[in-house]
Amino acid sequence: MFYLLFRPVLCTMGMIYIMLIVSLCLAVFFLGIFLWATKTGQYDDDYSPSVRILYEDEPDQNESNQNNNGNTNG
Amino acid sequence: MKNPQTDTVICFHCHEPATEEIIRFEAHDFCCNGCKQVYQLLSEHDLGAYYSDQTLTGIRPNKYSKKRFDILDDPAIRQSYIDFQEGNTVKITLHLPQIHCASCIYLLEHLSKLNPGVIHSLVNFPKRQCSIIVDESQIALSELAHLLTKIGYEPNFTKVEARKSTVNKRLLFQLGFAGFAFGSIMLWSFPEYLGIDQTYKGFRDLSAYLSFVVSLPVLFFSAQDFFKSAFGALRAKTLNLDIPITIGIIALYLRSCYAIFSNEGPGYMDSFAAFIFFLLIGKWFQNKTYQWLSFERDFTAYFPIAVIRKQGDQTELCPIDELKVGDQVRIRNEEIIPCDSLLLSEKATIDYSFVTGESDWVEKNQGDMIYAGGKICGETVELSVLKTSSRSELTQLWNEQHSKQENDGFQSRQDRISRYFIAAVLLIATGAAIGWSFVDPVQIPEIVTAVLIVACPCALALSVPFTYGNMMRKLGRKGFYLRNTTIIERIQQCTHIVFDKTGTLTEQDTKSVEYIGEPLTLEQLDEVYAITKHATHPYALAIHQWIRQTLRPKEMDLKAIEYAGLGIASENGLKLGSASFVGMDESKHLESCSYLAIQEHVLGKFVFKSSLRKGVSNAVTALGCAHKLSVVSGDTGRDLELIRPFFPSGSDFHFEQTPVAKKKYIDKLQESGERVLMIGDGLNDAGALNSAFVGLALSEDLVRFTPSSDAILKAENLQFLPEYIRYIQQGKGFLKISFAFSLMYNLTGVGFAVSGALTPFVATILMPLSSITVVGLATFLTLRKKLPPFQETIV
Repeated sequence: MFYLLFRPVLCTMGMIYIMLIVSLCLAVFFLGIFLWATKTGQYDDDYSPSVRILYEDEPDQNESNQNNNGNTNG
Repeated sequence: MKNPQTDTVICFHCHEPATEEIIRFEAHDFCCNGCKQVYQLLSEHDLGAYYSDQTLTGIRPNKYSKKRFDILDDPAIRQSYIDFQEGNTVKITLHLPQIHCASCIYLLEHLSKLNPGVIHSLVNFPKRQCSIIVDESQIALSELAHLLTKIGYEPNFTKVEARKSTVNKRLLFQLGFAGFAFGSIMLWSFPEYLGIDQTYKGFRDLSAYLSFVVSLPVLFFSAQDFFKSAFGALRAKTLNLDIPITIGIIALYLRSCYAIFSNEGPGYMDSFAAFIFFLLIGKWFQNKTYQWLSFERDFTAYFPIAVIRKQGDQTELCPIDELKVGDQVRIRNEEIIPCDSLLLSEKATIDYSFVTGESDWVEKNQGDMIYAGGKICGETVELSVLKTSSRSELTQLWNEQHSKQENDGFQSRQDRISRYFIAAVLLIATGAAIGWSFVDPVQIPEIVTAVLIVACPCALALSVPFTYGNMMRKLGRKGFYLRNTTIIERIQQCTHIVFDKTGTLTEQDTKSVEYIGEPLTLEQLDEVYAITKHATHPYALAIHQWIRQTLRPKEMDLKAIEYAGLGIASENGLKLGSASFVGMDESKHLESCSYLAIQEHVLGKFVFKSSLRKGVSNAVTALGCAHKLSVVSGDTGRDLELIRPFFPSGSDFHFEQTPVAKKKYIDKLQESGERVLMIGDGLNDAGALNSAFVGLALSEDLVRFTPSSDAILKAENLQFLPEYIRYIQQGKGFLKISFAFSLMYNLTGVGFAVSGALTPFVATILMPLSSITVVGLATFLTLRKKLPPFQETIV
């Protein structure tokens, strides 16, 4: 049923129109997320969250060693 | 823990060698009681994981700091520090300049374990800030500050509001729109690259019109700053690189619009969006700022916020702007005198080295006038205020010097070459037009726009941000922080380096002690060590510390009486003090020293000298090869022989210079055509730093106050300055290579354009390819070189 309804669109160049619209929607969606993230200050501190996630209350040896390698916040 | 190379004991907490004393506690060695206490505190509260990473070091708590945080409990003053208050719950954001690594974040975010009164704490690393929510019924704010100080993070209370939010959100928004358009248009253009033809006209038109719509925000929002800068330059009748960029952008855009509306396809819209996107990335990369450093501090950051005021028998805290003439204030050891005043106590020893450059402590007697800015050494003193702090001598001086000329005719290399660039582009475009008029005149507009499009200096515009941006980051990792990338070009052009002496060539705080006279026995030294133990006078403290460091003295008990401002006398006839105290004629002995006498017989004297910074002599000699050198100092000429040997002949030495004289000296040099790099540290250099072509401030620990400047260098890395400057000089070469590459691409493009073979597809390949090569090249060239010190620090 679904296939029959969209058959003329899917079987011709129409497919590429759908792709075009989908790509635009996706890009707009990502742009929206980026703008929202910037606005809410998620790029203000790009270092501490990376450290915070590694420190559990009782970290084991491996975990804390890893985050030593992550000090590249230049 | 032992260092295998040197066999010295390394402190378990701060990883510094334990030179003064070794404290053993729970099978670990500590260099001082402070470090041991932090360890104890952490292990008691199950925060031992802090030490699980051996490479991260703790902070040695400053044991000399006796700062009190009563100001936080004063209802009026604390209002400016707290973010909000709801009943007993208070949120406060503190600036903790000592934050430096992942362990710091761990420790600070587990504050609630150290004190249950802390509800939540969150670190902002780039700003070196910590937002803490506390329950005030359990912990007062002053106790919180005290706790932080105890674990090594002393809050800095100067000018909280001045900490700007520098993440440039507008630039990120612009970047977002440009990236969005770039990706979308390029995707839609793929059929075009693969040779779609008029059979699919409907699709071609739709993608072209969509590209046009998406490109509108890029043109009007993202590219805005380039247009503004180009028009600004034209209005000021100068040329900069944004002018050829703007010409290129507009040519690209108009050509594409023409293509879209004449149904030719999407034209060069993909190149247009990519172009703006890359340029903005360059701009973003260049805009690196050190958020926790302040390059523009004014005097208010140097003074304390509040002092203790005496009112009758009572004392109270008083903000320094509220002090009135005639108020009596009490200043403790290590505190700064906030205003010009009269000494009420009998004696005072004041350290003016930061303010005037004078390296000796100054002794003042009752009734003497005392200027603001000095630091009290030794006993607490009482003062009577003569002038309010904003009118004191020191701040008057500061108010005079707001005149850093931002526009001193400096033009960056990039802008200088832009004039040749514009000329070349116009020449080629005209040449191509004339040439084509013989072949096919109809093609002329097409050819001319094509030339303007490919000649757009995108790669060229990316060379500078990436070369200098990388250099600035690299230097920043070595403790050499530049205000922005133009400072790199400024340093390249400096011809003359002027040094301050006190605090720059010599150490700021430590004085070396030398004993001159009859040889002392070990017992005598032990006795001197014992009697200076409880002394308050800074000379006595310096001697005490010197004996402890040079030999391991025996502890003994010896009763001694200290006579304020005179000296110390012990019960067995040992006397240590001023010349008159041991019975000599004071007027003949002017150097800074303490005399030692036993049973009225003078044995000798301890002389206090400034000590040179480590490695500074080699550094100065190296700098002297390519630059002229001078020294201007506020101090007397007595250290001339100490510093003269490593300065090249022909260097200028000026002593006893007032801050104003220093500034005038710099101005005079610059008028004679020199470009001056001034290196200083104190308030007395502020004027000179400000008027110099480049002002470089030294900072002991990046926490202490530095006057406003163009660059800040960690004092311990002054010895590497010649290396840094050589690296900065090499930057010229790096840039030339990048320029050569980007021009090569432009020439290739122009070849296509002139021969009429430029298609949107060629432009799409050429432009990102050139940008990526240049960025890669700049990164490779700048990051290849290693700089000392070879242990990296995090920024």
